[in-house]
Amino acid sequence: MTTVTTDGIRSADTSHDAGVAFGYCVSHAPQIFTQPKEEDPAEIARMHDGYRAVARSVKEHNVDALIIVALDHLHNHFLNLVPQFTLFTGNPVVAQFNQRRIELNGSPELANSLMDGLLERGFDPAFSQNEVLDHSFLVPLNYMVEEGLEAPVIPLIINAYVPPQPSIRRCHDLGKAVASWAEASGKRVGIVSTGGMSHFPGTDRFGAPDVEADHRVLGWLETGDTEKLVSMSAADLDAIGMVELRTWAVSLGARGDRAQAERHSYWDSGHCGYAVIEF
Amino acid sequence: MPDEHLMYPRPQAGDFYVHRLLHDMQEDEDLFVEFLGDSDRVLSRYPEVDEEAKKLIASHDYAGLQRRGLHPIMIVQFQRHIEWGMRMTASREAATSVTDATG
Repeated sequence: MTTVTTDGIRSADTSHDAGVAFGYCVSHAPQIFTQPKEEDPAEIARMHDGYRAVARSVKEHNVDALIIVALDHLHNHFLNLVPQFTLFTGNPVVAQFNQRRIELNGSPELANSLMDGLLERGFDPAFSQNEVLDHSFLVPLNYMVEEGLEAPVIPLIINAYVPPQPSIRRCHDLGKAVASWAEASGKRVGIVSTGGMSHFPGTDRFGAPDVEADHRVLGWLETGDTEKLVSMSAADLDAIGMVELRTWAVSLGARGDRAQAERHSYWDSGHCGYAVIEF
Repeated sequence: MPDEHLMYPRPQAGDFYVHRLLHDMQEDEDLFVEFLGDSDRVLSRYPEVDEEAKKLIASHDYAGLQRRGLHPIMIVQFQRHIEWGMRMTASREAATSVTDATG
């Protein structure tokens, strides 16, 4: 198992320019919360520190809204209806996992504006006004609650696990559309994406994440070579356990030319590459 | 690449009700507890689910469910519910009357 860390999170841009002020990508494995004894408590603590640093930075950026991009592990979006993209337009924003349940402010007004903006830009997401979000949202948002985030939260749910999923390029384009809406509407937003890195829950590869692929992808992102990631096929992503990186692609697209990653932390837990990345 | 070679293949329409059963137990803690106490009684209420699938579920045969081609996320959440007592329930909870249960 390896650990690579860099110096913390970039200082917050406290201007109020319209657009996408920041992009963070973090993992959301339930073990980050349940902390099984097989996992190194020091590494888990380091991950928690990373989440808290992101949460503090999100608060300091003073955005009009935080867009959080994650997925649904077949809870709300069962096989009777599987939308590729779903925008949560309700209030409050509630997430739950195990006995942990959190509530944050939503903004139907801003979420509906984003919904309209996406429709105008060639995307047709579903929307939901009442959905309890799962652990993919709860893990990072938990730290936002702890740090006292006041800005409203707009959840965006990506179909990561049920084929056929949207292409990762389509997710990247969705991020561009989010940025275009923010700039056109004069709103300043930030994006936190959750998922990855390599892992294979529920399969016989659970204990064998593709760590080499994690480092390969991190290398691309750190050099700004996002094209290599967004050109991957659905089968490519599936084979290396990165179906969830579709959420990251939204942040990448939203940050545009600024999308060169800084790695706050990475840890191969033995079943998942946990990462905290900033764009 | 054909779907059957994917780690997360397209769910088979013929297994919809098997997934439905797993999803019902995943999202409804009362049903899950009833299943733990009397699996036959719960399974008897799912006539659309074939006997092979019922046996795999009743015996907590996670590898068998995977060989059957069920969705890995549904399987792992069923497994964690059984083995770890981990509640992954989300969809059945109303987004009102919110309390922080961790205290």
